[in-house]
Amino acid sequence: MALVTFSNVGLRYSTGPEILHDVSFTLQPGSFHFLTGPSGAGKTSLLKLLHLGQKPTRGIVTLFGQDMARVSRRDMPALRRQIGVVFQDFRLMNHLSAFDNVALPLRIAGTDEAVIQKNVGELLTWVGLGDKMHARPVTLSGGEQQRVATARAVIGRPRLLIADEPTGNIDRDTAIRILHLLDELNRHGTTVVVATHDEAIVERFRHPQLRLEGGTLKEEPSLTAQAA
Amino acid sequence: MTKKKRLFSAYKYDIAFSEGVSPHLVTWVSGLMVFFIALALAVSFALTSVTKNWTQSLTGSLTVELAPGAPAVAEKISALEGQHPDVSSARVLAATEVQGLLAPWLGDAAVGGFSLPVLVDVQLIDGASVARVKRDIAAIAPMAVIDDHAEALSSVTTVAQVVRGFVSTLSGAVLLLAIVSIAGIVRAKFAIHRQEVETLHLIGASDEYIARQFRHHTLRGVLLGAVLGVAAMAGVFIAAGMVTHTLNSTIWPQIQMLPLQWIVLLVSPLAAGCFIAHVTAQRAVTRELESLA
Ligand SMILES: Nc1ncnc2c1ncn2[C@@H]1O[C@H](COP(=O)(O)OP(=O)(O)OP(=O)(O)O)[C@@H](O)[C@H]1O
Ligand SMILES: [Mg+2]
Repeated sequence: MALVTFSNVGLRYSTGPEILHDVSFTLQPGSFHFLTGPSGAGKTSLLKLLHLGQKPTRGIVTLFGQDMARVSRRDMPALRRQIGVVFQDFRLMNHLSAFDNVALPLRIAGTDEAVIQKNVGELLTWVGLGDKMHARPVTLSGGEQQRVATARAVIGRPRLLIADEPTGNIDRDTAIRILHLLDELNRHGTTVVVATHDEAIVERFRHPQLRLEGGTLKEEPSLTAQAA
Repeated sequence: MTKKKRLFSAYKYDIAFSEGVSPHLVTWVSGLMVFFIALALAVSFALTSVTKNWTQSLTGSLTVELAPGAPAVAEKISALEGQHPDVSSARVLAATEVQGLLAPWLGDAAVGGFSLPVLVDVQLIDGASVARVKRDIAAIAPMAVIDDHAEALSSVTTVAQVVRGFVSTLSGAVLLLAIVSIAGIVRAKFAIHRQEVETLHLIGASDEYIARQFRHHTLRGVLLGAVLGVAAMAGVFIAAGMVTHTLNSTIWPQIQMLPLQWIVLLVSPLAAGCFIAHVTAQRAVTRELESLA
């Protein structure tokens, strides 16, 4: 069963023009896709639909086998907790330490504090921030913030991981490190979608692409051979 | 959430409440509200105690007025003492006493020239039937004017009711204003911290999880305000007591608050504060949260 299915999805913000037109695709469990396209094509908008940050204006979005139009507001948070998101602007809580930022999804889920202490510590060490756990985000470099944001997205072991331009403002080495981290998670079974305009990264990691142009999808990944 | 157990000072919010709208604003608003309402409550209790004293001294007595020169009838009425089960004492006032009562209205000189009415002061036992006594006196002296002080009593009661009505209207207005202000402050906080709230929402926090943070934060401010407000009120009340005591006022000794009234005075603002913080924050936040997808 597909993890995600979009059928003729359209999106418009309030009374503005339609941003996405008739977008249809499916994501199989365990797949890894790049979402590419020129600036303004609607990549971030598509990801918002994917992580339930926005409702489509028309069409059907099916996630984990459920039609999202039929899910009540009460049940949405539990679904969102199965989706990890690395936002383009990180969206870290500036008054919380790196540790507390990463712990947030677990605290929201009501995880036991002892488990939180152990898992968050391990993950931060794994992404190379073992010595910066108690630093505030503002005191961290862009690449370090990126890793905190990524750690927060994956700490809850999501079924679907979404990253919006995760290599946007960081150097090549850090970008490749982050991509390897996402690859590693993908190998453990997480379905991954990464929006990027970085051709070199797409070339290097060779995952199938969803290409958006002017709000329309150019290649359907369900027709593309699955990598990984 | 395990944090729930860490009450107050150790509580760590996911939202940076210490930034933006001053956390003291809610404390000020609720402190002033509690101060005024507790003061109004205290005034109302004191008023009740004063009117109760007045009422007690006026009820349980009748004044019978007889036309001049009817000593025999006056004697019969004073004989009710010991005969009538509801009468504890009945005493014919001496002429000088009656003169004393009338002098302020008629002047000393004029009083001398009148033939004075005869007044009988009738004291009733507790729980006496005023109507029955009046009927029995009327049977002895059909022409007598019997005054049961109902008019004086009703005017005292009316004044007390008007004052109490005024005080509770004012308290209601203060309460309403405080609720509206607190709701406004919570909304402003929501707007300022919208980005953080959105992030929490997107990473899977339920509306209840987010609302709880606002409720808890508001409750903290309101409780602090309520404690300070009650303390200020108690200070004013004690100071007023000391002032009137040194003035040797005749009213102050009559004001006695029951322990229950003190408890109501101290506890109800706190309870009301908690309730208002909870409901107001919850409503304001729920309304705002609905604007998120
Ligand atoms: N919240 C919004 N309200 C109204 N219009 C929006 C909103 N967000 C995006 N848009 C519009 O939707 C279109 C697509 O924007 P989107 O951010 O999805 O593009 P993108 O492919 O992510 O671009 P970039 O590569 O620059 O990040 C743009 O024209 C943008 O102006
Ligand atoms: Mg974008």
